Amino acid sequence: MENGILVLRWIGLLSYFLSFNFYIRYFQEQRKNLAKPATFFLLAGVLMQAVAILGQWEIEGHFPIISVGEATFTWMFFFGLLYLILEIRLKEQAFGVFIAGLIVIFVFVSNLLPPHHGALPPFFQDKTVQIHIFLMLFSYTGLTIGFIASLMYLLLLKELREKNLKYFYSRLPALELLDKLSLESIYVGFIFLTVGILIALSLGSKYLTHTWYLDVKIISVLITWIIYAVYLGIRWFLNAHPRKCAYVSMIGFSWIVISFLIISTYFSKAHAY
Amino acid sequence: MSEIIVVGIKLPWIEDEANRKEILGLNFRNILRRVKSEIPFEEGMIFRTPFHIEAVFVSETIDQTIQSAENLIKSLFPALENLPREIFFVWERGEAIRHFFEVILGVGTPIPGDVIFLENVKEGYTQSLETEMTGPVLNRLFQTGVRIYKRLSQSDAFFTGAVSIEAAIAELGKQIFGNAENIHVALWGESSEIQNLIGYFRQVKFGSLQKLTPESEALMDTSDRILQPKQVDILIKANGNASTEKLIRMLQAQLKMRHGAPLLLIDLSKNPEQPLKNDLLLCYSRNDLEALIRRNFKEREKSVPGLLKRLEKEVREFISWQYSRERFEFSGIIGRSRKLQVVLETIARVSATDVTVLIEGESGTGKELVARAIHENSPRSNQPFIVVNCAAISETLLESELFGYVKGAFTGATSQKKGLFEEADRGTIFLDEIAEMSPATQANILRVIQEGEVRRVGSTQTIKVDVRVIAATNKDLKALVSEHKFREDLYYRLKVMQIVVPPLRNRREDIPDLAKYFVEKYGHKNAKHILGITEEASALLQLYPWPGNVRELENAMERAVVMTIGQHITPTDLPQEIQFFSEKGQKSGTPWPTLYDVEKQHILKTLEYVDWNLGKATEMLGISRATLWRKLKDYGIQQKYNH
Repeated sequence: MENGILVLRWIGLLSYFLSFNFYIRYFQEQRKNLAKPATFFLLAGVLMQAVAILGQWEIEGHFPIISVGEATFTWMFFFGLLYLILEIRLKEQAFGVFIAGLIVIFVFVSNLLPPHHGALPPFFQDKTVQIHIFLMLFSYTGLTIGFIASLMYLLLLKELREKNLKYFYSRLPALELLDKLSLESIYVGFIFLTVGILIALSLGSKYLTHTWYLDVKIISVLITWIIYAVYLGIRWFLNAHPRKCAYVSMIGFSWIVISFLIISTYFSKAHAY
Repeated sequence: MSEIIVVGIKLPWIEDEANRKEILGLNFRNILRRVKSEIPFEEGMIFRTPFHIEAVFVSETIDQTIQSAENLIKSLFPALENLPREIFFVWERGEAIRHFFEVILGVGTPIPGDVIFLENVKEGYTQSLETEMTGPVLNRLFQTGVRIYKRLSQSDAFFTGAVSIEAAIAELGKQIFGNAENIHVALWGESSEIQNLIGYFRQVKFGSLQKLTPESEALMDTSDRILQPKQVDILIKANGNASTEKLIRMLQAQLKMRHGAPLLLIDLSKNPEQPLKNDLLLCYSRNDLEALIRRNFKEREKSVPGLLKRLEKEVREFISWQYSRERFEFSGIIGRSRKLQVVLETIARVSATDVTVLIEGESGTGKELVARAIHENSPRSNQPFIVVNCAAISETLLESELFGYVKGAFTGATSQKKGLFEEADRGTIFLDEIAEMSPATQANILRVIQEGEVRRVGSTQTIKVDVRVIAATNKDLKALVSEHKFREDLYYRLKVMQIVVPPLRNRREDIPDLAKYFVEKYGHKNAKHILGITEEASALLQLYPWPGNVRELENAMERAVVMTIGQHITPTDLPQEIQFFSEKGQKSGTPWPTLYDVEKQHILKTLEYVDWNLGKATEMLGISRATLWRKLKDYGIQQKYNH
């Protein structure tokens, strides 16, 4: 069964890769008949991930959220699922190339990273810890969508300001839509992030060392929170140009990647990832 | 063999303004009339686009048709005599078909993909259809062209990108602000293109349009504050007369209201300038828009090879259909006559809808076949098709058959039963001989059609049904209405769409195809290998008036197949009434000769008298050569003529 799950993860990655290929071609050629197979393979990838996640739960008794690799895998599942919902709701497939590309990279990385084996560490048996992890993953999903939308916003705005309406102009959705999507995604992601951090604060003293709050990972998450608080603050209270907010969103996502993958793996002593 | 040709002239080649006006000002209906009388063709269609005047013909004698068309063009436009030969063009066969599709798509014009080409062709087709110039080939050609346009315009890169100033502004607006209905536009200043812009923006359904007049500028001054327009997303400055200072103040006020959303300023004046530096302000001049249009045009041009490849497939399929037998068959209805083509065109159009249809025609003309064809080509084709012969079922039984009954509704109703309307739910019900229905049943039918509900006999509950109703009759329903034998309200409800199936004697050119079909059918059924029908037998079939229509023809051919001992159907194999029917002495009781018979015989006599000299024949008959040619074709008269 474990081998089966492993095979499913790699086939899922293949499906995402095929989806990415079709999204690239659709983005390039703007032929609607390329969009359907792109969505189909993305959906197939998401379904295979769902089966793999459920399979692991069946075997291990818990969802794959214990190690960095597992959490990345689960994060990408939420990410793909949320994007599919957005694609149906907005009837817009221009995002697909960026989304599928990101999923391919992260699922590939997650497949390479070792899964957790053995008994579940005591603190993971606490349901509150699991809720904290899921909230953080939901948060990162929303903030990632916000990043993609901000990136697309900047690419399109550049062409509009320079009046060089060549590539992204005819391929991306409307500028205001991208801005709205970025703002709303980050807003929702920030709420989950805030609640996730609050729960973490209550758990920290219970399970971690007495100076847990000085841990690099904890500090890095707080920095993430500050970055997005700045984003929302300058946007709502200072009426900052969406372009400036988009740069903040890019910084925020970059920091999430650093925090999630690098800091927690190599620098944190108190936090698992 | 009939071929398609396209003949036309290219308008851009005619540089002389007076000549262009002369051509564009010509009465199109006059041109149609002259084409009909002076050019020999089987089918024809004329249309005019911004860049060509063209005629599409289906003709067996291509050279004659082309020569006659050129002569007509020269006589219509004498000024063209001195212009280069290149302005005339002629396409034949596959190239003609491809060219026609390219015209509809606007390929090779400065405004490729613009819908005006389709609209122009549609207008020309409609006028040609009304003057009975078109036929099955051109009908199919036009419908194929429309289908190609609709399909490609939704998916092909050839159709994307604005190629006019107003479209470029709309495109920019949508790319910045999203859906058109959320976009608010203000136009400032006067210019000749303001009306074009307003018209276009109304078409694309922008959220609101405000025209800032000189009066509103004055109001802005006297109130000492900006009487700005309501919040706008796009501000279009039409000319250079608008005060820069006022513009800046207006922009500043607008930008304050926008809470971070961008504002698009379009400056169409000759000397555009950026009045304000602001992160939220995007300024575009006429030159910028024209650069966008040039870029879009290049993209469309790049997509042309791919588009032409897709067209090739359509051209091949069309040619294949044109040369196939299926050209004269549609859902089991066989015939090439114009009268039948009109019926088939109507079937094709009503099939796509759910309208109630009333089919009228003599007995044996194929009314049930027509009903079946409508059903089979409709979205309900996978659902039931229920046939009810109202004359064959007694009055008392008809109601219970149609609407069903509940247990105990009448003696013998030991259990409940679904009616035929319920059986036909989501499908089609064909009510043949509807004139035989009693008034009470007529009232119930009317309710079903109007409310979509049936009530079983003996029940108080109504049941919703979704049934398409097709009715048929061989009686004059209108006369029955005036005699109060048929409900007027039901009559008008039934004849939302009316199809009159012509009797066989009015479409004699279909007799050979039908006879051949029946011979093959019954030859196969009786395991007889029949090669065909002799000329003498064919002549008899053509002569006979067919009071029983296609059914009688079918019976006659079935009998002939059974009776024949050779490999061909001969006169002696045919029923006696057909064998002994002749022009000179009609059997007592046989029908009076029709106008068709009389005219045909007169033309034949005239041709024999002038030894088949067409020119002399036209003089004696007082008709044009083209008209005579067409009548020879209609009557199936063999052409042994001398020019």
